Amino acid sequence: MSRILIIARHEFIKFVTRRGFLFTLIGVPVWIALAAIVPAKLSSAEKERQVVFSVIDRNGAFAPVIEQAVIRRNAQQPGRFVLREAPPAVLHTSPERFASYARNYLSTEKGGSALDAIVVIPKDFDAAHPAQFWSGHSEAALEDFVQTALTNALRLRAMKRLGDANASAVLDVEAHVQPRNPSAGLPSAIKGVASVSVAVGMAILLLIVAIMNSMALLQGVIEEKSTRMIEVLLSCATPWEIVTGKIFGVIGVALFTVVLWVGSAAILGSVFAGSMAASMIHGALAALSDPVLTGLVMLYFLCGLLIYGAIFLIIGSMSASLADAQAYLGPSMMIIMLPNLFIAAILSAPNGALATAASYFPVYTPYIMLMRVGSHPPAIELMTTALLSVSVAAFLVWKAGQTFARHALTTEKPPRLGSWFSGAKRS
Amino acid sequence: MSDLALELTNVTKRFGSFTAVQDLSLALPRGRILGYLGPNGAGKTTSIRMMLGILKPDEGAVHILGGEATGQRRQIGYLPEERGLYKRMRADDAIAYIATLKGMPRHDALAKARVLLDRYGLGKFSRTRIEGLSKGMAQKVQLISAIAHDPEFLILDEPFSGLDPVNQSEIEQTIRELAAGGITILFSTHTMQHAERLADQLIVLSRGRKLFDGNLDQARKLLPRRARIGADADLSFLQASPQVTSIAHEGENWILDLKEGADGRDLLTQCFERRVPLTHFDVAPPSLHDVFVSLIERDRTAA
Repeated sequence: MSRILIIARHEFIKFVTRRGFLFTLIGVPVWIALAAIVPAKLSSAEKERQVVFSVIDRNGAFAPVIEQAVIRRNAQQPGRFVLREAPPAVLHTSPERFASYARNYLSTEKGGSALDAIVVIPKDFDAAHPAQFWSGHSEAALEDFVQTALTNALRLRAMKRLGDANASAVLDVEAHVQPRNPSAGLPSAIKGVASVSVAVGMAILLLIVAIMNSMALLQGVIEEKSTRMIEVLLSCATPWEIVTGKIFGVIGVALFTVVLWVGSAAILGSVFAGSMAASMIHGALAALSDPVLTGLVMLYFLCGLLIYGAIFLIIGSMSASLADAQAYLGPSMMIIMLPNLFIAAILSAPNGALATAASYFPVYTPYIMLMRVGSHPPAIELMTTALLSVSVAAFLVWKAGQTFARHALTTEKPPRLGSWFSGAKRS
Repeated sequence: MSDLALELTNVTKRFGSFTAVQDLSLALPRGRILGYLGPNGAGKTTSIRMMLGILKPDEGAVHILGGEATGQRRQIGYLPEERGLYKRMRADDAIAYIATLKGMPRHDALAKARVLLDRYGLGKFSRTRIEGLSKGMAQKVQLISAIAHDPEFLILDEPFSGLDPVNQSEIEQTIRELAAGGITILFSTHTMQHAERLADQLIVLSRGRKLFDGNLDQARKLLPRRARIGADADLSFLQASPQVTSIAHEGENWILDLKEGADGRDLLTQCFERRVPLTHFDVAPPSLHDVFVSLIERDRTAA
């Protein structure tokens, strides 16, 4: 076995036997799942939550309308809205002191007796004198409901003025609209969505596994420097062999992680066959059967790993301690994370001007192209960005080897950026 | 095959404007033990790194076992000054890792690691992580990792550093056994007694230059023999003796540096003639420690 592979094997075993690796292996998918499930569940729970409110109708004509609307609504979703008598203290208070009285009843500290909202309809309710919706926190659903009920009441009044005595019957009329997608369920549509999802998913995975493992790589190099293990390694292998072996080790860990995650997803997909999540997983796996897409995804993914790995290895080589490394890590992480500011814009227009321009910033190319590759960018962009990714990765790995050879054994000040690029030595 | 395990010819190494090693030449025949001595910053580590092929000399040439250092990696074993081991690795894996990097098949390396751990009394710790071993045990593991691949030339940088006397004796014994097995050994140390007991050849470095190259007897001849006489009486009259170059009173003893070839009998005779009661009398060659200190002080004074 070559020394590069021996070092890569050692680095691989060192990383995957850390407790942190197991935590990440399990924790990251759980975190992603929770990030998807929890907001959906909270939103669903919010839609089913009982909302209690009172109406103070100083006009006298609208409280019955809202009461009727509540009855109609509760026929569809029993107990969703509960209308209570307004507290006398609030009912008879002056407009100036209303806020302080209302605050007491809208306070959550009052437990079961608390109101979620109080609707005040002025005596001369019209466009110039709007109804007031008092609430201690956001009650968007009730606010919409009340607004719709009052709008319907005003429209009924207008229709009656036009002479239709039975106008109130229109409130029972409801138009139903069912959303339909002509491509829904077709294999081509699923594959199209899955292609984008797989590529974007790989971009996110790239960032997670690259940073996670590259940080471990950086710490490893600093530990080797501090214990002089680095000298033992350098007495066994060349700096180039050591650097290449270390980066290969990180790539091995990253691929192992991705394979485990994708494999687990496939197993879950088969276990929960028939569910929406399962169809998404099957779609993603089907997308991976496209050799061009898979090849490009792998190329960008590997180049991204090499680029991030080399950057962190360079930082580790130039740092005598973790405290030293922190000085470089802050700016480096800011630079690496910068494209995330434009993710929404890039995903909404993956072949737009911003996405195209960002693809040619060397360090970002693999990450941005993974975001875009499922959206079929022009072939010339695929070729040029692939070439750029390979070139930048090769350059940074070479510079990592050079920096490692020069700084691994020294505690001298790191070079200035200009002299680092030119390879000149600080005197 | 060259008779020399190590040959440095006019080697100079600079870091910017600082010259770490200057015009250093030395030759170490195969099968011998070289004590590599010098104060901190003398250039020992830099020259050792050149011997290992980690650094390239700016001038001169380094030959190990008759070839370039980088081409002889498999024949060299190296023990760095600090604990060059991965804390979370198990002892046998740590040894096997270095041995595989030196060219041994992994299976053989692991088997050899366990045999050596057994031989050096660490058999039951072979699956213990390095962080769970005592300092002495870890140093033994590190020494085993330097020899597991059966090197012809072994470089030990401060092998006794931080060890208690018992562990120092064990490491000393191991070095003797390895040398008896035909391995050429270079070791650096700040403890002169180890060098006195172990080394066939001594090199003293200071400020990157070689101050001394020879064996223990030759080193001792660099300083005069010294007489130590215990007496309550004033012995300053001995200053007039033709055998004495200097005299000093230290506590209950009088210390007299003797001229080359003097054996001190004349001093004893003079004390008897004057009926001076003596509590102690000995004449001994200077210790390596004295020689070392004298060489370094002279060099610093000259600088």
